[in-house]
Amino acid sequence: MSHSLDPSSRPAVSMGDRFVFLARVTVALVFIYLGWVKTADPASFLKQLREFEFTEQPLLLNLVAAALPWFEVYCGVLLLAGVGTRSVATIFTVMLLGFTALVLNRALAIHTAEEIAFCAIALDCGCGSGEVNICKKLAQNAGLLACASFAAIKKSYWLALKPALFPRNA
Amino acid sequence: MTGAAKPYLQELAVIVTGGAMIAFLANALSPNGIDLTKDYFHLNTTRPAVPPEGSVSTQSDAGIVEPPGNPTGATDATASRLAAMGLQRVRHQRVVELYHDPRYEVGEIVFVDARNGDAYRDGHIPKAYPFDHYQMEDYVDEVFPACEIADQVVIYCNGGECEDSEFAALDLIQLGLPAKKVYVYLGGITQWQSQGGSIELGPRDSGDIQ
Repeated sequence: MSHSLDPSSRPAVSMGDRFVFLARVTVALVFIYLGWVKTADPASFLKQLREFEFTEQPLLLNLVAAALPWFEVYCGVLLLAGVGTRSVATIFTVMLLGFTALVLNRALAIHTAEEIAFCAIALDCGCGSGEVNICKKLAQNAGLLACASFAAIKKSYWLALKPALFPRNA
Repeated sequence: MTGAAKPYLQELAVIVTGGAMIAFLANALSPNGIDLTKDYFHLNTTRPAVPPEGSVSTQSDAGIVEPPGNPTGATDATASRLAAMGLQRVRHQRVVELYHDPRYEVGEIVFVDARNGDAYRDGHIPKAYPFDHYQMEDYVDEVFPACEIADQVVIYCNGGECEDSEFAALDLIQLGLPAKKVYVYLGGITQWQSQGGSIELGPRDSGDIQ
């Protein structure tokens, strides 16, 4: 049995791997925190969801309010642990695109209705962070979106438990 | 589907399906969980009939003008929404009268606080019953019999844009409480406090009045 203790024999960790890891951890921790906050008070989240007026169906509103916070925590844990990393990062990318579109749409509606400067708008988007300035929120989302999409695109197995659940050909 | 995409899509499907199952299970087990079948905002509720002119509410409110600056935060839109729901509005002055009415002490007039448990414990109108309609099953056994006995039931939440008092009122009406004795205090706890109303801290009848 031969174990090499020579560090040079280990696979090299590239700068790209480090960036992917950092992006993964950032997105994962943000979603775990925001999801956990919402699970503690789903009624508030339900009320905020209704403000978006994306549906008038009680069942659909309830389904989203019941599942989304826990789903965010679940995906956050998977991403942090490095399980199905690129798929989870893809899910977060899609979610962030959807959330950002909804928040932007609501802010534009407020901007039009109340005739106030766009960046002066503060709203509780139901994201779990309370009332936030819309421009700050959009900037945060853009940053998270960049991290999530980077982790989705870039193949990296560094500090990941099971980065791919099914064997890939390439 | 290309060979390279297949495992990726399989992985997505497994993660999303597993996540959805875990999320709904966690919601079902959580004490704060959402009841999937409940119409919390009464989006599909048939509205109760608007009480006829000359009801207690109309007579009592006649000539009572809210203080300057609209401290209730209640807009015309809010009042219109209430009317559309078939609910009666009660103004602050009348709420104060009802609070000091001897019938309040004997339960013929009942106040109901429609905010969540934490907000209630932080301060409520003395002797008001807690009734967070998002956790209705935790409160209804105590609050509904009290409302049934009462002649008038005043329901409030935070005031302003808060709608929880309206939804709680509709819940109680749906449970069988006659709409004619249910009144929504739009000013809510915000107006009550700003107008110098006393506040009870902690649980109902704690005696810790400020």
